[in-house]
This record gives sequence, structure tokens and C-alpha cells, in this order.
Amino acid sequence: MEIVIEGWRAGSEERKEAASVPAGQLAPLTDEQKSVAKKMGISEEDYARSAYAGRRHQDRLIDKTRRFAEILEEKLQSISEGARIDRIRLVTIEHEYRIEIRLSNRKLFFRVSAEMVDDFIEGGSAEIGRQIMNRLETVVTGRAA
Amino acid sequence: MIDLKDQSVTVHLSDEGRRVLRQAGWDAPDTPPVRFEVQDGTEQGLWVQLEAAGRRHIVMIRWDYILAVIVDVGEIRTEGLVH
Repeated sequence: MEIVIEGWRAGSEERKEAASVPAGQLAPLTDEQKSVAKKMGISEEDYARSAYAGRRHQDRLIDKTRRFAEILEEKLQSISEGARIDRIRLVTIEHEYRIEIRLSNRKLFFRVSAEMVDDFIEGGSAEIGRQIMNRLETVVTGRAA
Repeated sequence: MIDLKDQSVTVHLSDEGRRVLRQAGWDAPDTPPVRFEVQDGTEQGLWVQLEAAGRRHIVMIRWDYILAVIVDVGEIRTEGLVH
């Protein structure tokens, strides 16, 4: 299974952490990043702090996405033997997970909002969890769960 | 649908928008682009964080005062898991 986090956000925790890192310990910018900083009209140090916060946020997103994918795959296998997730992609700017599912004879796409995943994985909402699993079943079987 | 919450954005404010923010006590820079951390985006405008007089404030900037918004979407990160 491949996990892809496309883009980043930075919450206040990550921003605070990034602000406290000594400038010398920030990862040097690539030429591409320097170009982005210039286009955005911000200093290279500001961009380096922003990238630091973004990467820390991506660490959290990777962990959350992995947990979600494992739960989803367990359900998937109970619906259709041998089914698996090829790829789970979080598009942060659209706040949406896009999941590519492989069945024995075909490939399916399943989408779910990041808000629902947050409520399920971080908020512990069993009801939202059921809704996500019901949608998955509908997508896989072609029948309303 | 685009969701700007918690995104770092560069905003090009109109002169009027800059004037209004200064009137509200924020020392808006003279450079056209200004960088903000977005708290939320609504139909009315952007809720952003501002530091003024040593304190953090959350301020609504109405779309009427915004000429352009550039979003730093960030980079792509990929990880593989063994089945």
C-alpha cells in the first residue's frame, strides 16, 4: 500500500515549534524552494520555518492516514476476499482522501472527506466510522449497505 | 472544494484593505504581498492571525479588500507499506 500526502497545513503547535528552532538547524532550502519563497515575497528563513512546520504536520498526517487505511482495509477484506488498498492519497488543500482499491478483477475508487476521517480517527465517533464503512460497502458491492 | 484552514497564504491587499488594517491597529507592511496563517475561510472573507501590540488577534479580512491569494500548498510525501 502506498500512502501519499499531497501538500501540508500547519497548525499552531507546529508553527510554534518551527518558530523556536534556531535558524542554523533549519534544513537548507532547495533551489526550487528558494524560487517559491521569492515568488511568494517571503524570506528564505520564513519559508524554511514554514516548510519545517509543514513537514512536522505531514508526520502526523502519515500516522493518521496509516491508522485509517488499516481499519479500512480490514473492513474491505470482510466485504470482498482478497481486496486491498493500492494507494491512499490525502489531498490537503481539498481536505479529501482518495483511495484506490484493488479487487480480484477490477479497480475501484473511493473518496471520503478528511473531516469525516478526523471525526472518526481523532474524535472517536463510532457513528461517523459506521457511515464511512457503509459507504465503502456500497462502493465495493454496488448496493446500499 | 478548496479548504484554506491552517494554510499559509500570501495575500495581495488593496490599498483600502491595508488602510483598514492600519486603522485597526495592525502595522501593515508596505510591500504588496502579506503573509498570513488562515484560521478559516468563509464566503465573507478570510479569518487570519495578526500580531498587534504584542498580542495575537484573529481578524476577518473581507474579500472586498483582497486582490489575490497565493496558497503554498506544500510538497508531496509518499510512503510505502509492505502488505
